[in-house]
Amino acid sequence: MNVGELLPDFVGLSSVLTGYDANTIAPKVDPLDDNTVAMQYLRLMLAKADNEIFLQTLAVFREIVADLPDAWNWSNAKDPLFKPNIPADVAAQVKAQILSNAEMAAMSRRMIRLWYLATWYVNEPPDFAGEVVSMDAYKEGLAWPTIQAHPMGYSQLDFGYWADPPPSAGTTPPAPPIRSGASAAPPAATQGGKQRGGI
Amino acid sequence: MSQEKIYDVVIVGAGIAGALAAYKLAAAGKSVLVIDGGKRTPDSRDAYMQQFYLAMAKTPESPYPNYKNTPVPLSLDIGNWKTERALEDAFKEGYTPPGYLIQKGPLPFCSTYERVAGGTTWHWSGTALRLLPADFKLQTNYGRGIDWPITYDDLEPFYCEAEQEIGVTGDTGNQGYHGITFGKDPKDPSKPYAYPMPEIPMSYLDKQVAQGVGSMSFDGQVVSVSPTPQGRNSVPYDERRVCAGNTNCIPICPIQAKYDATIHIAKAAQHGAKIQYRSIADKVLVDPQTGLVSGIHYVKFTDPDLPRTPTAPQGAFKEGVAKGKIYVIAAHAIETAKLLLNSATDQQGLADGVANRSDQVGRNLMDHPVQLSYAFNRNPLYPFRGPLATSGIESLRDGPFRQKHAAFRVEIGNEGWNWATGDPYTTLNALVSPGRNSVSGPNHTVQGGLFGSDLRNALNGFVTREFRFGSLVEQLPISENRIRLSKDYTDGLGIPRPEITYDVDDYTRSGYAAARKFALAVFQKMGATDMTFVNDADPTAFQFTDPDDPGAKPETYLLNGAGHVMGTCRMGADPAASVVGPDHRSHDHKNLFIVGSSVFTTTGTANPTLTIAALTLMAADAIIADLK
Repeated sequence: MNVGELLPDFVGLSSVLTGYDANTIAPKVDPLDDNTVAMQYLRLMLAKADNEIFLQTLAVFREIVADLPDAWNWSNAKDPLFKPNIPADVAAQVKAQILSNAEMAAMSRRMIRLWYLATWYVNEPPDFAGEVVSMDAYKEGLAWPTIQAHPMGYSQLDFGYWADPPPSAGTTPPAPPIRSGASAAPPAATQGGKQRGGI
Repeated sequence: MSQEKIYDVVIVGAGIAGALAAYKLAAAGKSVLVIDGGKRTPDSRDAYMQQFYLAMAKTPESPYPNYKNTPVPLSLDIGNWKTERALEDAFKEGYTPPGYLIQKGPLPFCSTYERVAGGTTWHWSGTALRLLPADFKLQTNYGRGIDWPITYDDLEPFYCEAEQEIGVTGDTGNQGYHGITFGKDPKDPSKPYAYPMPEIPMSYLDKQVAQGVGSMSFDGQVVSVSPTPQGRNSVPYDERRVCAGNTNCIPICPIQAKYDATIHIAKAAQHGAKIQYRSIADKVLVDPQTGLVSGIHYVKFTDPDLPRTPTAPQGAFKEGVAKGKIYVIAAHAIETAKLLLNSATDQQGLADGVANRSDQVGRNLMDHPVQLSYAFNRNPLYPFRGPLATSGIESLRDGPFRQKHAAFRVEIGNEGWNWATGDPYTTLNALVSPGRNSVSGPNHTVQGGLFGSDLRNALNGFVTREFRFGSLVEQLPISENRIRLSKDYTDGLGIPRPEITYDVDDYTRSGYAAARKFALAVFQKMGATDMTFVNDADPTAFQFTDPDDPGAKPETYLLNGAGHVMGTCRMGADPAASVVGPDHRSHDHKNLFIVGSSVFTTTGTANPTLTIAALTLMAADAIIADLK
């Protein structure tokens, strides 16, 4: 199997799942680069995830986007933060055809955690066991731009930037409702957290 | 026994105390040998950075080595401390606790440290506060603890010197609270003192909190938010670049904009000091005739991860004795006490260890227990930007209330709930997993199963509104909070591991309760929603009941370490009740000096690094005078 042939479907589905444009998460900067973070994740999924379900998930996605105009699959423009260019009907179809299936939904959640946290968790839902995929992946974790920050330990900004809100502050969505209630599950896996300690 | 050279000064430990002492003594023309257990400082920090990036739990220790011959305590050990003790009791023989510190309770000691050249300054926060004048007179002023044998005024010139050496940012106009004074500019006495670098700007988050605090009082003190003096560059200084706000001071600054003690190791070496790495000092030797220290016995090893077993290759270990006119122990509070206790012999007066006729070595172990309170603000504060902390609330570091409860300072974190809950990881995972999931106990649960824009918006909406207070609470010297040598467990070199008994007394618990009450008062004033969750079953949990409130019920709090390991060789005027005198000289052996946070008489509430540096520079003057 040529891993590269799976890449468009993997990136396309990742785009829908993460809410980030394909061009943002997998920019085609260097056509010869065979070790982009997207390729690292794809290889990791093939190596560690249940291949039958993973390939089935990609196949279902391929069916969903088969009838779409080419323009979307690898969108060219980087859209402004929080306005990704993902067709609503594709997201709806992913929800209906992939996320409604328990096994494919679990596979999708693994992909989301990879892209956001650069972390492969042994279990799904996760506990403490797992690994950070690579240094590059850590630096490109989507959790950081989502919270309008930079990866901890990887700032490319200038001295004093922290005195002002981020330039993208105007796009911050409204506050989600904060609700207290009984937890359905124990706290999700943490990294750092209570273990950090020390000031 | 190869070595015959007699140095002016032999120093044990290449952390900030050892490095600064070595630098100042070598710069004064003295011949200096530094012995350190770590490997040579790497030329680049990339190896440490790689280990950090790839670590699942990004603890303070995560970038650094943990070798069998130089083991370190780990933050991840703390949650297991009760289990380790239970297993130990159940199995006795044949069980080796994985955690380096043998924690005997009743509470766990929650702070950790490093055993690499540069020491724990690799992951200090950079906060460079001075102690307050009142901190030196706790007994006189408030009838608590004991007084230091020196005053703030004695130390003030050395604070100035330390601020120059470290490179501290600040504006004296913002730091003159609670009686803190600044002398003259050391280079031009006609001018008032100024910090060597301009103040680091307050974060947007800090400014929002300051605005929210507005004008309020607590415990009779007017409360305000002030920018923190910091050991990181706001302008190019000492050939190092300015801070880029990596939000990673702990565990590691990627660009060395934050000071660490490798800088003074290098400077000491430039002045001719010899640094001997991969060598653990295990005994301080004393001449039975003179009572003077006669040498430092050490074990040098080729491979720090190869234990010294009978089958280990010959030549992998070499013993030696380093000789000097003066000896300085600068091995960090726990390791310094361990070394002195391990030096016990049947010689006259050394049955309990070297420098320990007072029986105070290893006692009075202290930390700044940290009360964490965390909340959601109404509007985004944009955490995870800037240094880990740029401002604090210093208003409650002193006041008449210290007769009743411990003082505290509030560090305002720039890293959301990263310390408290492990965010952004925890919230992301909770939003992705199906069902309703907890981020902070039952106080904060979120609807999971999200993807796409819903996921992005929810993660952003929650995490950009997070903030936390970390209140560093004063701790008094208590005789039974102490280090002993373990009788049962050794490290890879066969040296006994430290065994700790530790508790938090009512003075500190009451300060903890006040810190919690204060955080809630501020949150309420800001219109923020407290989300702090305390699990009664947490292995760090302790209780406190307010004695002034007849209807009060026991409240549970969680203990956190500040990484501020203090005490164990305290400074005092009375040889019967202290280990060193005001000049850092052992009461028992006049050519032995002990430097570092081990000599702290009391803790105050200032992060200790700057005071360690100032005290060490003061001690170096006493050593230089001795050698004349």
